[in-house]
Amino acid sequence: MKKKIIILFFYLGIIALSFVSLKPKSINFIIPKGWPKVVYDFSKNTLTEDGVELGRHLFYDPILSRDSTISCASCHLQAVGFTHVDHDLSHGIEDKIGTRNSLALMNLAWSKNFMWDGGVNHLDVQPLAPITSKVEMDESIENIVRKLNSGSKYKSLFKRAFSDSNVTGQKTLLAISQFVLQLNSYNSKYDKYIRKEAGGEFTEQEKNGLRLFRKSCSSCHTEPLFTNNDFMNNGLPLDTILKDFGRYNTTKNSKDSLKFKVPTLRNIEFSYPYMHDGRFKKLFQVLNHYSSDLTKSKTLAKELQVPIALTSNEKVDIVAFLLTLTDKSFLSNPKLSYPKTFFSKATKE
Amino acid sequence: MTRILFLALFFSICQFLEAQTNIQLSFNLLHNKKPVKNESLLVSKTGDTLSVEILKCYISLIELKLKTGKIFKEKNSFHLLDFENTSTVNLHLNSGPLGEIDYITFNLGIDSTTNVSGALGGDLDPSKGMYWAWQSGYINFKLQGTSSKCLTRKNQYQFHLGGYLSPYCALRKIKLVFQKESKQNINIAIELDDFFNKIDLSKTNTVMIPCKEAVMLSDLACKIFSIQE
Repeated sequence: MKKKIIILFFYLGIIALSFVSLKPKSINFIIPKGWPKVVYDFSKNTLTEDGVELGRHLFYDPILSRDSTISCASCHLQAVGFTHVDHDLSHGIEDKIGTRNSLALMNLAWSKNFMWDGGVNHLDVQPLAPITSKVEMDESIENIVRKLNSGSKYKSLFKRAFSDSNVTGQKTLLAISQFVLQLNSYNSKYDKYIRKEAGGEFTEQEKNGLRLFRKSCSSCHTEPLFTNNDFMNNGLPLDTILKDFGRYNTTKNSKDSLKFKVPTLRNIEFSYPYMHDGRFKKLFQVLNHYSSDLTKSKTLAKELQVPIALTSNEKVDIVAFLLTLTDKSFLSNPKLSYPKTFFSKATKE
Repeated sequence: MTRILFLALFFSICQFLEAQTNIQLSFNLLHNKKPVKNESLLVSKTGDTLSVEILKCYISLIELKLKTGKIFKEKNSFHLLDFENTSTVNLHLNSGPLGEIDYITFNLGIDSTTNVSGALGGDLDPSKGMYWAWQSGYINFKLQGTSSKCLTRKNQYQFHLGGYLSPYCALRKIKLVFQKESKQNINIAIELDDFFNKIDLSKTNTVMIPCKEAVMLSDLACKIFSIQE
C-alpha cells in the first residue's frame, strides 16, 4: 500500500512539473524612466517569449498575403526603422501601389490609434488593414487562419505560445501584437544625453539643434516619443491625384480635413521619404517646408499660422540634432530580425 | 468507491435537469410571415423580386426581466447569428428555472467598449467576417442579396451596418414585451418585409461604412424583431 502511495505521489509530481515547464516564460515590458504611461493593456495579452517568437514568425512570413509574396516586413524593414525606405507610397501585391507612405513602427505601446488617419483603434486589429487591402496583401484573416491551421509548423508554435494548437484570428493577432510591442527605441545618442550616459555627449551644434527643436518643433513632436499622438494639418498642399483628406476620411468631420497623424521622429535619419505621401526625400526639404512653404487652409495647425523662422545655419543644427535620434541597437537588434532558422527549415521540408 | 460513483451520477442528473429548465431563444427569419429558406426568391410589397444571400447580426447583452422584478443577465452575452448556419440562431441561455418573463432586452450590435478592446475571441473573433479593417469596429448587421431594382453590379444590394462613434452610432437596444405567458422556448421573428418595404432599393442599396444612411437603416433593422407568441 505504502509503495502504491509513493508511486502515486511520484506521478503527481511529474504532472505538476510538466505544468510548470509548459507555462510560457513571461517577459517584462520596460518603460524607460521619465516616459509616459503605456496605452496598451498588457493584462489582456501577457507577453511571453513563445508569444513574441510566434509573432515574429508571422511578421516575417509572406503567408499573410494572398499569393505568399508580401509579409509585414516587406514594407516595414528593421534596418530603416521598420518602414519602407525609398518608397513614397506603399508597394504591395503584384507591384500595386497604395496611396500612403508606410509608417515607421516603434514604441507602439504608447499609441492610442494607428494609421495616418487614426482609423484603427487598437494595436491588435492593426494588421487587418494591410492584410485586407487590395493593393497590399489582398488576403482575409479567415483564410490566413485556414492556411496556418493546415500545416504542422505553425500549430506547434501556437501550442507553445497559447497552450493550444488550434489557430484562431484572435490568437494570430495577439501574437503579432506581442512581437511589434518589442519594437522599442530608447537607446539613441539623444536618450544617452538625457540620461547622462557614456556615448551621449552632444556637440555644441547638436545642443543648439535641440534648443531650436524645443523652441519650434516640440509642441507637436513632443519628447520623449517625439510625437503628441495627435492629428494635424501641417500645411502641405493637397496632392490633386491622391486627393487624400486624411483624418476626415475616417471621422467625416470637416474640422479634421487634411489632418494626418504626427509621426515620431525617432530614427528619422533612415525612414525617408517623409510625410504621409512621402513627398520629401531629404530632411532639409522638410525644414524648408516649415520655414516657408506652408499652405493656408481652415484646418492649418495653430502652431503653423506663421512659418517657423529658421536661418540656414539653424536648419543645419536642427538636422544635426535629428541625427542623434538614430538608435543603432534597435535597428540591428538580432531579436527583432528575420527568423532565419525557422524559414530555412521550412524550405527544406 | 460505489458511493463516489453514485454522487457523480446524482450531480450529472441534477445538471441535466437544470439544463432542461434553461431558456432557449430562437430567431426565425420571415418574409411576409413565411419562413425564408436559403436563396429563396422573395417578392416585396412594392413588387420587386429579391433574394437574401447573407444575413448575419450580433445579438448581445441579453437580459430577461421577470414578472417578480428580478432580472436575469446572460454572462459573456455576445452571439453572432448567421442564418446560413441554424446552430447559431438557437441560443441556449444558462438561466436555470426562471419564473414568468415580463420582457426581454438585447442589443442589436456590439457596444463601444467592446469595439475598442482589440482582438477578441469566440463569436467576436475578427475572422468571423464581421469586423472592419480600415476603420476599426464591428459590423452589427450584415444583409446582402440581389434585387431587380438595384442597378448595381449583378443587381447586388449590400448593407453592412455598424459604427460605434457619435454621430454615427449604429448600436440599437431592442425591448420586446410578452403579451401572453412566456414559454421556455422563446421564438423571435425577424420580419424582412418590415425592412424592405421601408426602403427604395433603387436608391439605397450599398451602405458599408458608418454614416448617416447606416444610422437610418439601423433604426429600421431594430424594428423588425418581434416575439412570436
